[in-house]
Amino acid sequence: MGFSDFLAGYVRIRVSGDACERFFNLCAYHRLKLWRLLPEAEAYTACISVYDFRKLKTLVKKSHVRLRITERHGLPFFVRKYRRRKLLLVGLLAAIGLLLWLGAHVWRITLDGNVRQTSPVLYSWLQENGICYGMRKSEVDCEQLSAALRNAFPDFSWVSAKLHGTQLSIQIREGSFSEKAEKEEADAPSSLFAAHAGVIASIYVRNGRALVEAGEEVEKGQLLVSGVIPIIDDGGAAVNYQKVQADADVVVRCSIPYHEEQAITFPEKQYTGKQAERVLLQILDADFALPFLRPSWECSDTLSRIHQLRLFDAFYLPVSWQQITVREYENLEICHTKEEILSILNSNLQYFMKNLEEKGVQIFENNVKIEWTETSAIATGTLTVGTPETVRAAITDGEEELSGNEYD
Amino acid sequence: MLEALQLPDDLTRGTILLSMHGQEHLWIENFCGLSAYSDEEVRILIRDGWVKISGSHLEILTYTKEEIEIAGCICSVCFTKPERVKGQ
Repeated sequence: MGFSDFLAGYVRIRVSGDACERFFNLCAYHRLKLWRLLPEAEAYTACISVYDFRKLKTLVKKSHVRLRITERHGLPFFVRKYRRRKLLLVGLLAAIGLLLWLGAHVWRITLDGNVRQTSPVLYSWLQENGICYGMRKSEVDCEQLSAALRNAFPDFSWVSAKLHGTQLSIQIREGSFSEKAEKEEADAPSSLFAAHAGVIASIYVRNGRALVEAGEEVEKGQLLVSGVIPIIDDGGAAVNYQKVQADADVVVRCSIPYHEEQAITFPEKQYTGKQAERVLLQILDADFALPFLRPSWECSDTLSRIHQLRLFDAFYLPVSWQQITVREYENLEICHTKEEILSILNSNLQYFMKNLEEKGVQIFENNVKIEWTETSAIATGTLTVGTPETVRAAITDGEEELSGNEYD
Repeated sequence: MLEALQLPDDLTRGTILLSMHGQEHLWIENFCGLSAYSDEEVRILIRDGWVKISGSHLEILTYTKEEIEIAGCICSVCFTKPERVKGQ
């Protein structure tokens, strides 16, 4: 039995008599389809469509069987059964209409791939440009939207907008076209200069000419590795110059200052233990809060989780509910012990050093000391580090002259 | 000539065509009619005799002029030819 049989309607009949098999053969000969043919005590039952049932009269007479309808199935019988229930039909049509109307609008906008541009910024740009929650899907031009986003945000190298169900998905890839220009600039001949003043701890040159050596003291901005390589003839004179992009690992040992002050007494958030939970139901733009009492605390933290209803994979509905938890707290001035203050200063110093190490900086010495005053503790001192940071800049005219003078 | 043309027998000679899936489903085409039907036996008339399908909980799922579909626990499918009387 298929959906078409249900739409057309079918009945279950009970056939009894001496020549039931002849009756079935007659049905088959006249191209009447029977299914679910089951033997019972002294009879058979079978299913037949309503249209074919109307042709059975002559066959029943011919085969001398007795026929009785035991069950009726299908849409025609359903409609006949509920023909007086007009409101049921109205409700069904209204539900279908509502689904169609809901399916024609956008009820969810998602952003994916944005890093530098935050989601609230992008959502407010979308709203300003007519892309908002509840708009008709036919008014959304995905290609135009993608182009407008790329024009408005030069950081975006690729934007794709797609409508799926009632959801508008915008995928973004950041990274501007100027990266190509930066890459081209990066391949240009250049030299390396010192980013910090200090002593050269180590130098390893892959390309270019080193002008300093390990143990030498350098100033900030001093030329370390030149991108100009003179071509020397047999006589030892420079006949030409080759300009390359200097490439070297230079570690400069220097001292960087560290200073941090931590007050002994400072305000801290203390939760009072009072907590209120409520559920906020949102239908289209209207909010309904349950329970209706809202706590009126001076200071409180609010944690909310939003769930949006959906029928299918991407068929979101304009109904969502939020579970909101509100916790009251007080800002109390707390006097901390020496151990607590030391622990805070140490952990901040460790965090600072960890950040440096992640950037490739080696820490040789830690000369940070803690001094106490009446109201605060101060961590101050220097860190002796080895930094690989250098400044790359274009080759200046002075470098060529410098190279020429050395070999003349 | 039919063999030379390599035409299928069920089209040219009207031979019965059976398809079976496991022991539970049987399709029969090119039959003449239904001779007997019960829970344990189904007898189908064919051109040269009849086919007896034996088993338990046999059920005819579909019955049309072209095809009959039988489901249930099928134990045997037996072909029987009518006995010829001497002199015919």
